[in-house]
Amino acid sequence: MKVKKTKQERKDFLYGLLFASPWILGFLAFSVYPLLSSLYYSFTEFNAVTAPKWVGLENFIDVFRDPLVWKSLRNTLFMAFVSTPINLMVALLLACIVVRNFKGRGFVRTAFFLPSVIPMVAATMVWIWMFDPTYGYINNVLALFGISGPSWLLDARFTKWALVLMGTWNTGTTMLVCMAALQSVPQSYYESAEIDGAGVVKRFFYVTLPCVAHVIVYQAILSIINAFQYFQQVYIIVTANAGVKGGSAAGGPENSILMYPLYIFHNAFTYLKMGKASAMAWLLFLVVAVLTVVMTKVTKKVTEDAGGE
Amino acid sequence: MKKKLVGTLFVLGMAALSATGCSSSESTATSAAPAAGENSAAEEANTTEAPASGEDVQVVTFWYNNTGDEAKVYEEAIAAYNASQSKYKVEGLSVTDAQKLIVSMSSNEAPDVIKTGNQSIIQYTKNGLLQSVQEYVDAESFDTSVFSEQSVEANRIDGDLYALPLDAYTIQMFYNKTILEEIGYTEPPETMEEMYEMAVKATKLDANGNIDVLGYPLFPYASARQELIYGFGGRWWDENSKPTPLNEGVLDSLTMNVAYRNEFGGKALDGFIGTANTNRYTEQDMFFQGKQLFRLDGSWLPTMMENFGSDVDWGITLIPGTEEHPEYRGSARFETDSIAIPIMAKCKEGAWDFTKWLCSGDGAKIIDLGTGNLPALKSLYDDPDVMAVPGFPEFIEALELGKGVQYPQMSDYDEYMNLVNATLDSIYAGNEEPEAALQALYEQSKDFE
Repeated sequence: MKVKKTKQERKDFLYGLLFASPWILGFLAFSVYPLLSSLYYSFTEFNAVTAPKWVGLENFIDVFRDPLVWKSLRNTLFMAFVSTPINLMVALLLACIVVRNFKGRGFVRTAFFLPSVIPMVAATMVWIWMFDPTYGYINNVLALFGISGPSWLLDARFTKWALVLMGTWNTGTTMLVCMAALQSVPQSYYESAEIDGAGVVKRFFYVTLPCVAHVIVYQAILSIINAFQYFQQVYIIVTANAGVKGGSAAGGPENSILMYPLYIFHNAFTYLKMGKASAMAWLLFLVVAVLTVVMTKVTKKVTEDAGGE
Repeated sequence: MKKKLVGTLFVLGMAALSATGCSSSESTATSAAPAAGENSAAEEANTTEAPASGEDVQVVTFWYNNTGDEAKVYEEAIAAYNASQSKYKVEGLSVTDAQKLIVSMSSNEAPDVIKTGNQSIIQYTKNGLLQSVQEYVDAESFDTSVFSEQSVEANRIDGDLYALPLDAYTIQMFYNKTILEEIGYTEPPETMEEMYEMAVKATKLDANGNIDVLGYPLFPYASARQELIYGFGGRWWDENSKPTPLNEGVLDSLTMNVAYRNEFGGKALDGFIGTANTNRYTEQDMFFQGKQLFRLDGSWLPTMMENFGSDVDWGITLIPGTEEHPEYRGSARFETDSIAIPIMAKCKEGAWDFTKWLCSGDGAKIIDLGTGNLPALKSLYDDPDVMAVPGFPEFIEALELGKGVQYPQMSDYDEYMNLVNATLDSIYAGNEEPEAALQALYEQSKDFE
């Protein structure tokens, strides 16, 4: 049965709308309008300045036929499904360390978290120096163990692994979330497990991990979605390496770190193919949307299994 | 009733405040910074003060893509122009982010004049973003022969001039005289074959197999992709701007590059090149430190070496040709920094007036001397101040040979170069033989326009 709103309720609603109007207008102007515009542009030939020309599905066909689109997608998937688990493991390990009681715990926590507050641009520039094949810290440390380090950012076999290494440095936020989850595990579980004769390893795999699984899965989802927006670090690296690569900074050696968002950027602002870039962006949106739905269902299942809601 | 009125006024006030807050960023030239790169704030510190607006004075906005000391040189030129006449006032802004320029053009907020490389001039023109300056040239019978022929051609697209050249840019070969003498030579090479022989003799490895002295000029790779190929008569495109990766000279050059890589190891070379790139144009630059026998670079290198106090005894010579084709000697890329007027400029007359002054008046000399770039104006070729700059006489002599290789008039140029670079990476990494890789490149790029 439809309940008729009173005059006061209608008035309250209007006031509410008025108060929210700055945000609503901003949302319409800066989110909805660009979103719909890009959908329209994806069916046009458009260089961002002159009038768009309708070309139907041509941009989408071009996207599917372009080998670099697939290469950039593979690179992005690598970051999503290789870098993410490694980062989570590192974050969980760090959380396990800092959650314990020991002298200087506050300092260690701060030290592990600090990289997360450093601007990505500055951090990436520092990493470029650290990856220097001759004078970089990474290769100097490897040399202490008798290993001759590679040219991290010049050898296509190592460029993505360099990004993975960079990612592990920046896991402070995830570490904090894991730490909070670890602290919420009831101490009685550990005591019971200990009485049953479980050692440290067994307590971790049979008590800790199941209790924090839902948090890890949630973090995994966020990280995977973020990986599909991986841009800043590679943009800085390829720009810094422009001198090496000949001034045409596109995607690093053999386009080995050409991430999907970077290729969208190049199409939009370097090649002035805004239509193709829009088509690529919409395909990315669809992929991320499907992934989000799947992973949300997975989280729900894991949370239910863990006894949550 | 009173309560209702107060409530309504409050809500409207909130909305107005919010709207006012959102629009404040566009109020002055210095605060307009949409979607720029990370360092835009620093770049934009290099701006001229907005002039006091007089009744008849028209403001001309000018964006140049230089920063730091070079930006100061542009500001100096702008101040000189503003002092030279009273009809227009130029406001300068340092914008190195090409994305910002595109965004400004798309939102009808483009500057009246831009300074950019001639490759961008070609790309922007192909996309309909620039005003042809041909009509101004014709209307005023402006004499373009004051510029070198190459520099005018660099800015002519489909028969019309779209920008005036501000300065010129080419590459020649620097060499370390001390290393050359150590390996038993008194004169630099004139052919690629001689250069290779010297390079192999000069290359030194340390105890760990790392390259200590690089003989062959594989750094910067940009030169390996261009000048080393031009010296063999190779070209990545033909006179119709169609891709030509199967060109014989390209293959010959790559074969020599690969031979050198195989001789000393790709890993050792990448190690040297990686470090060289990190330290390029710093005090630790490999050439400045005496760790490169040959270096293919621009006219600014001697001034930089002087500023960094490098004690390397250097010389300049033309890019070598080949034994079979000595006439290829001296072939190198030719580019210009150019001044153009966007199609949506609001003050085109003022823009043209400033463009003329900057490129052909006193402005060109201020810019050339201040930035270390070569002149496009022929009258500056024998100017005593210009000739006093270290390296300029040799570079001007090279320019006068007229062997510059121009950019193609290809709208897909950037995409093509991306594929070329990826192909070279693959060849150098030993993943593909040059012939097969170039054939694959041809297949990928044959439809580029």
